[in-house]
Parts: sequence; structure tokens; C-alpha cells
Amino acid sequence: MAREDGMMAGRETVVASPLLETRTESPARAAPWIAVARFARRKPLGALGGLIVLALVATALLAPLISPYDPRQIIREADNRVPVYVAPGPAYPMGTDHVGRDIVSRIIYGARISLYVGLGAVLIGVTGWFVVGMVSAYAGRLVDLVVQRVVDAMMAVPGLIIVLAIMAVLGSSLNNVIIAIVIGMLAPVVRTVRSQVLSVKEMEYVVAARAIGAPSARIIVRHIMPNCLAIYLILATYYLGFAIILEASLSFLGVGVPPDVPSWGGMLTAAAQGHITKAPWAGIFPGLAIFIVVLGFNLLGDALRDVLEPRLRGAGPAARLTR
Amino acid sequence: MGKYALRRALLFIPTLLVATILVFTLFWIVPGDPALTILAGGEGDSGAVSPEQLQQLRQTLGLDRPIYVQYASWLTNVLRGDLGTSLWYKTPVWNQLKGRFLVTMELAVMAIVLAICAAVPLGVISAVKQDTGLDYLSRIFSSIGIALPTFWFGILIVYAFATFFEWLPPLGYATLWDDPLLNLQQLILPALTLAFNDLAFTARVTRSSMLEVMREDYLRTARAKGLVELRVIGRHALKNALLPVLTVSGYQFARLLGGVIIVESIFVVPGMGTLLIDSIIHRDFIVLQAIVLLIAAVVLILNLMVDLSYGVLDPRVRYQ
Repeated sequence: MAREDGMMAGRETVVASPLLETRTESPARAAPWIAVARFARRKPLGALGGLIVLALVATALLAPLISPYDPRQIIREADNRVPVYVAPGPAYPMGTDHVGRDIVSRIIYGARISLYVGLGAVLIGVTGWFVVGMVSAYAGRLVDLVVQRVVDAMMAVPGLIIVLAIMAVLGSSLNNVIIAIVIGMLAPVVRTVRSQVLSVKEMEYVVAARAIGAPSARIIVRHIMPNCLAIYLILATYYLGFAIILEASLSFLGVGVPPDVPSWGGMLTAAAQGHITKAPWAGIFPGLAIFIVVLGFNLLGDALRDVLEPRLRGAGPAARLTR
Repeated sequence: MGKYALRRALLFIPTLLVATILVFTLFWIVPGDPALTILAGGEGDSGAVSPEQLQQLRQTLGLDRPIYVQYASWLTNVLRGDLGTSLWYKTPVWNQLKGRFLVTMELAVMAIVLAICAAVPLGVISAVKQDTGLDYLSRIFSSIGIALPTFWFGILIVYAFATFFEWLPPLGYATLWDDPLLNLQQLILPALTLAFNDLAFTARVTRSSMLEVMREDYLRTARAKGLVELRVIGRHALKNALLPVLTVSGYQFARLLGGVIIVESIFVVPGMGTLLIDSIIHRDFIVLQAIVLLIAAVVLILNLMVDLSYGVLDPRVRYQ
């Protein structure tokens, strides 16, 4: 592993622009906070992405402490009036929505939904399909053939249509959204991992391990998996953003989470039905939240890719995402 | 090349079969019954439906047969050119689909043409002026485009046009043949919405592909023999850099067809997207199945066309 780190650091200095410093020592060997600081200096945009992600996590964790109202509750003011579409002001920083709920509270709690769906889909989906892609590439022959037919068939249909069809079958609920997104990830993740494993499989150290008679399981765990770790990290980052945007799309179309759950996508449904001119704040803020968070994950993913796997530059997995 | 095209075309068959089998089994393995949905009237309560009624409707619709029999009969009908009858609307699927299919395709083609027309110059400028302010500006622009959710951007476009220009796309729908101007007015905003997201990807690919080509020896040669810079970039670099752009645009088209669903629902365009959402709500899997088949076929044919065009654009590519 240490040798590999050295190789990667060396490769990075080759492709880095002359403006960047060209150190050759491995970032992994330094103390974690030094490594983070170096990453931030080298990749300021990536660090910005990391900060956005941290802010999302903090918002989700602290939601009950920082949100001024109950996100599901229809507010009743002193004279028993319901504040429908009240413009942003001191009482409601981002205004209220079409039934009289506080938008800022719904956005704060919405961070929980986005993070839950994103993490759930990535932990199950990227991990699961990663194993499938690895096995498909390593086993070859019939297994590979069957897996590749399924991948081809799913690649021919836009991801959103697959996910929508699954939601139609499962019915709308938070966990069903995760299941649907996991299935929607199959084709692009399996394909990316498979091609990576196919190239690692032909590396000399793998051939050498096979030549001295190491069993397949050992080769996969000791030699192939460590060399796919970077890809896993990069995919996980990108697909967190992907899952968040997909959940928002589903909820926007009315087949995602149930309407009372504060989902950023669901909050935009009314705005799309012509309410945007009446109450622009209700259509602007939830979308802004999705946009900033997804931008954060993409920036972080781009930076991780440049640092860990510069070979993927330009043709990163982001190019295969389906929305 | 003819042989290659034929072999690739034959590969469509298993891919399409697997795609339709996947959709078919999807509807079978999970509980939920289209017959029940029809009798209960969409969202209505299922308690009022008698078991006899249900059984009878299931028999009429052929839903009581084993799944492989249902699939086989569906497949034979498709091969005869019959996509089936909608479970919900009770009209032949093709009658509903044909008009909507053209609308969706028109929208998608408009969007991809708009995207390529904007993205290629953007990517080229970004590559030629690498690491200057212009390059950063265009890269920031494309990062934004990738992260921007289509549905939000669509809403913002409607808002911007309504507020600042006091203009909204006319309601209703006219086909390109009946009234081209009205058709254009109706589709321009949805097409712009779709194009923006697409543009970001294509500009990125154009930039990195141009950067790669610009390091090649033949560009130095072209400059050395005294060609004007515009000609070096336009004829020698761009022509060679366009191959990856083409590949990505092929992929993008499939993505676009997904995005169309969302955009159509925002702008109330009567395309396949709105029909798809409708069929999902009513569990009308005959319609859904037909849409999946049609879209998969379009995507596969397009990918083949992209592959074949390599040979035309780059004589070094040989098909085997």
C-alpha cells in the first residue's frame, strides 16, 4: 500500500500544473490534519465542496436546535390566521409555503431527508454494485456475460425512467426511494468498477500472485480491493450528490416521499404549478439548497478524483450519471 | 462496415428483450394489482370492490395467466406491430403514443442541438485560453450547470421570463407542421432548460479533448508551416477533438430523454413524459412497457449511429 501511495503522489506531480507545488512525499503518511490542510491548499474548490458537505451534516444533526418552527406544522398566528405565502421577513426568514408552514424549518429538516437518502443509497448501492462489478470482472465467462446483458439493458433506458417505474411498483415512502435509487445506480456503478478491475487484474502484481498460486479470494481481498479503494471513495462522493438530486426529482414529481415529509424536491412542486410568480421565495430557496449541496459533492468528488485517480480526469464517472 | 452494423443491430435483440423482461417482472414480483386500481378508480378505496368483479376484470385483461404466458403473448403482439391496449384508457397504446413520441423527440433534438451549439465554442475557448480568466469562468459555468437540478432551473426560467419579459409560452399545443412559429414558442423554454444541463457536460468534454489534441505533433507542424491560428484550431484541432464530444452526446441523449419527463411536466408539454407519469400513477404497465421499449430502441439506434459515424469522421477507425 505504501508503495502505491508513493506511485500516486508521483503521478499527481506529473499532471499537476506548474503553479502547484510539486512535492513527492505521500499525503497519506502525514498526520490527518496536515493532509487535510494540504488538500485544501492544492484544491481550494474541493475544500469548498468539503465545507458544504460538513455544513449539510451539521444542519441535519442540529435540526431540532436551529429550526424556528416544526417543519410539518401549519402555523397559526395570534389571531388564529394561517400565514399562507407570507414573504420572507423577521418572523419567517424564508417566508411560508402554500399551506402556511415555515420554509426555513422545512429546509433545515429537509437536510436530514437528503442526507438519509444519500447515505442509505450510497452505502447499499455503491457498496453492493461495487461487489457485483468486481465479481463480474474477476469471474469472467458466464457470470460476466449475464451481468453485462443486464447492464446493457439498463443503460438503454434513462435512469430516471427506471427509478420512476420502481417507485410506481413500490409506492411512495422514504425507504422505497432508497431502494429505487439503488437499483437506478446499478448500470453506471457496475460498469465503472468492472472496467477498473479489468485493468487492475492484468497488473503484474496480480499476475504474480496468481502465478505463485494464491487463491482467488486472497487475490481479490489483498490485491484488487485495495487498488479499487480510491474509485470507491470517488464514486461514493459523486453518487451522494446524485442520490440527493434523484430523491428531489422523485418527490418533485409526486412519487418520492409522502407530501408531509419535508423534502427539498417536494417543496418545489407547488412552485412548478404556476405559484412561482405569486410566491417566488417558495420556489427559490429549496432549489438553492439542492443546488448548493449537489455542487458541494461534485466539487469534492472532482478534487478527490484529481488527487487519487488522475487517470480518470475528463472522463470521470460523472459523465455517466443519469438524471 | 455493413457487416459490423448488421452484427451490432442483431445485438439489439437480446438487449431489448432483457430490458422488457426486467420491466415485466418488476411489475409482477411486488404486490399491487392493475385490475384493483382500475376498479377502485385510481386513488379510490379498494374496500368497495367485490372479489367477483375483480376476478372477472383480471380474466378480461388476461392478468390471471402465469407471467411467462403474459410476456409471451405481449411479445408476439409487439412483433406483429401491436403494442397492446392501455389498461386504463382502454385505447390502443400506439394511438396515444405516436403523437407524443414525436413531441418528445422534437424537444430532445432541439435541446441537444442548442446544447452542442453553445458547448463546443465554450469548450474550445476554454481550452485555447487555458488557465486564464475566461477558462475559469467557463469552467465555473459548467460546474454550475451540472449541479443545477433541471426542475429547479425550469421553474426559474418560467419565473424570469414571466417577471422580466412578461412573456410565458402560449398554452395548448401546436405541431411543427400546423404552426411552426407557435410550436417554437411553446418548446423553446423547455428546450433551453434541458440544454443548459447538457451543455455543461459537453463543454467539459470538449475542453479536455481539445487540450489533449492541442499537445499533438501535427498541431505544431500546422503552426510551423505558417497556418493562421484560427485555421489550426478550427480545422486541425477541433475536427480531431470532436470524436469524444460525439460519444458523450450519444450518452447525453439517453439522459435527456429522462430529463424530458420532468421538463414536460413543468411546461405542460403533451409528450411521452406526461404519459409516462400518468401510466405510473394508474399502474398501466402496458403503456409503461411500450414507452420503455420505444425509448430503449431509440437509445440503441442512436448509439449505433454514433459508433458508425466514427468511421466517417476518423478514417483510422476500422470496424471488425
